[in-house]
Amino acid sequence: MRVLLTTRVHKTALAVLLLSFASAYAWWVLLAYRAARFAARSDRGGLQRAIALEPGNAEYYDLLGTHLFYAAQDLTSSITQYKTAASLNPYVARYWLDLARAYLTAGDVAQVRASLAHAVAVDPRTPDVLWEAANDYLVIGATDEALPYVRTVLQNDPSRTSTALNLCWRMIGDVNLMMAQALPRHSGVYLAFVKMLVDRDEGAAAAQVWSSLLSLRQKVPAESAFPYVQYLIQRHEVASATAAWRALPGIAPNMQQYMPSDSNLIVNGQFAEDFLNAGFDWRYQAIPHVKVTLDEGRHDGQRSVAVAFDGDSVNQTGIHQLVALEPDTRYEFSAWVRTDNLLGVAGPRLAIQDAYGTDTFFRTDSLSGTTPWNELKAEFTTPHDASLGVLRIAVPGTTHVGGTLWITDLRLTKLPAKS
Amino acid sequence: MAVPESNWRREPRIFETRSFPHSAPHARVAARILLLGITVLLMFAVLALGATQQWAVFALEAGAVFLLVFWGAQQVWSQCLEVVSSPLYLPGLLFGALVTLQLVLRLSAYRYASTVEAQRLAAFAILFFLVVQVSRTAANVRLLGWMVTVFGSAVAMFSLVQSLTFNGRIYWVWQTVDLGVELVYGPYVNHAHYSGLMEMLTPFPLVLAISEFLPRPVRVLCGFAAALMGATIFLSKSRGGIIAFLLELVLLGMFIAL
Repeated sequence: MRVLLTTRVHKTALAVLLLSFASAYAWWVLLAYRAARFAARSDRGGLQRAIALEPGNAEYYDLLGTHLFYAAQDLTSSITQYKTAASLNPYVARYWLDLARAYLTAGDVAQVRASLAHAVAVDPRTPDVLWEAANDYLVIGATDEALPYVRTVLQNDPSRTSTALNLCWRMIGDVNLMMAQALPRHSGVYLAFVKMLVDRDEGAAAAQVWSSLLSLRQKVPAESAFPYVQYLIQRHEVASATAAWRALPGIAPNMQQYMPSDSNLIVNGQFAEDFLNAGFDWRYQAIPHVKVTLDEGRHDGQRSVAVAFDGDSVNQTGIHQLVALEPDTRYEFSAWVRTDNLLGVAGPRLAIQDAYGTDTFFRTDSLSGTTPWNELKAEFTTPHDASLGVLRIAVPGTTHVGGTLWITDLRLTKLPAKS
Repeated sequence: MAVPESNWRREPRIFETRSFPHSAPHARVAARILLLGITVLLMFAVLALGATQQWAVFALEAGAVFLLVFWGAQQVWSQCLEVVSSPLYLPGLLFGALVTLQLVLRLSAYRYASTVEAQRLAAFAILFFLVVQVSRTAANVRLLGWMVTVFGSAVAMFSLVQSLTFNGRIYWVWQTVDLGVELVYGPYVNHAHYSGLMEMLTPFPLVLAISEFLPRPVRVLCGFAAALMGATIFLSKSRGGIIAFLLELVLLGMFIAL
């Protein structure tokens, strides 16, 4: 399209038209820019000038409300500003939450509820919004309203799991209510709850949650359940700890290999599996001058553990396993051992001691010299107060030991009582 | 040269034999300046973190209206208002009408946000209009293609280097807030926006690379630029961007096959 601009009128008309549009548009964008600059000052005057330039911008009212709430501590004026922000743009949960917070400070519970209801209505899935709403509901004692939002937060925001569980427990302290209303049916959340209760030494509550966790039948990493077993062991609740350990394959299938049986109460006695360093499997702690390795040099097709001493002074090997025992019960222990140039005043030996006391239920003779694979056997009877033993590759006292010891095929079986 | 009004009205044949105003030397220079201005403004918008902050938005909008005034002045100077039409004006105008209707009839859920977006839309409309006006000569289209290719490659190269040496700050200086640093790519806080830019720019070097009118070394260079820009779409990890880019390639292949 071509229009010749031959007369002054044509040229002027085009120039005026364009300049008018350009001026109006430039003024419009300049207004927005200046308002943003004033608002960036974040003081009362700046925000008021920003509002004067752009009275339709809800954000500036909210910012002014926040300034009045915190800096000026003018509650009434801040509520007015928040209300204006929420009325201009009722689709932003932030404005409603700010309004709720101001009403909370003013003690107007009815308005808090109304504002929170608006906030979650316009943004029902954002964890941040629901978390803040849940907090405010809990503060005003509206537990029934708060817990469903806590559940949504726990479902969608793993970073808040610990905080949310702690808050709920502090505010409610009722496991059944929390599991019914606040906890999503997710094993990760249940495990975190168990851990939190264990940290707070709430044994009964932890047992309840643990039981519910097992009933979920969802897979979890085995190591995440070990702290609970350890907690029970520390509380001398050996039966519960054993039950928890035996239940683990239901939620962590790889734990099947670490279960004791009637024919052998020792877990992983042939060292076929890696050490879990927890629960009722082998535990190992590095000790100076002792080197523990899983050796492929096998006895009867089995892996063995090799304990190498460098000849310096040692008082332990760092390797042991907890074994649940019954009181006044006869047990038979056996193990295959091999030694290579094992030297020392008192050589290492295998022993089962009371995990909660100082009693030694049995121990083998000191191992020394160079011997081929041979089987050690022993019988012992536990005292009337025995519940948990600890099987150790022990060194009597502090002594210099050199050489290498291999052990495998450790067995512990319960014998029938003597008539 | 001024065309007398009498000639324009009474002797159209004479008018048609005269050279078009846009082919006059001063008009060509003005169009070139305008094209450079538009390109620089758009490049600025990209480099200014995608023109998301208020100062950058202001610069973009003010720059657009300044370029429009420049174009108008050139029209007045050449004594001929010449507007190149485009089939894309119609959907643009319809969309503009919809926005206007929404604002006038107060149908907007949040009037202020609609106003701000209308403001931005006006700037985009101005730039689109001006690009159409200056792209009517092959020389200008070629220049635009080369500038886009060079700029796109430079941004892609920078983005690649930044992602390999990222310290959590855009340009190694600009600290981002709220969003996770894993979203940042190139000059954009959001990697999806970066991939959106590259989806628009990559076709330029790609088409140049398969063009038969360019010497082989230049085509290879363009192919490298296209590969670099396309690769960063994948490296930005924007799933939507990757899908869109692949669709783009399929469509281009179909056009070539046809």
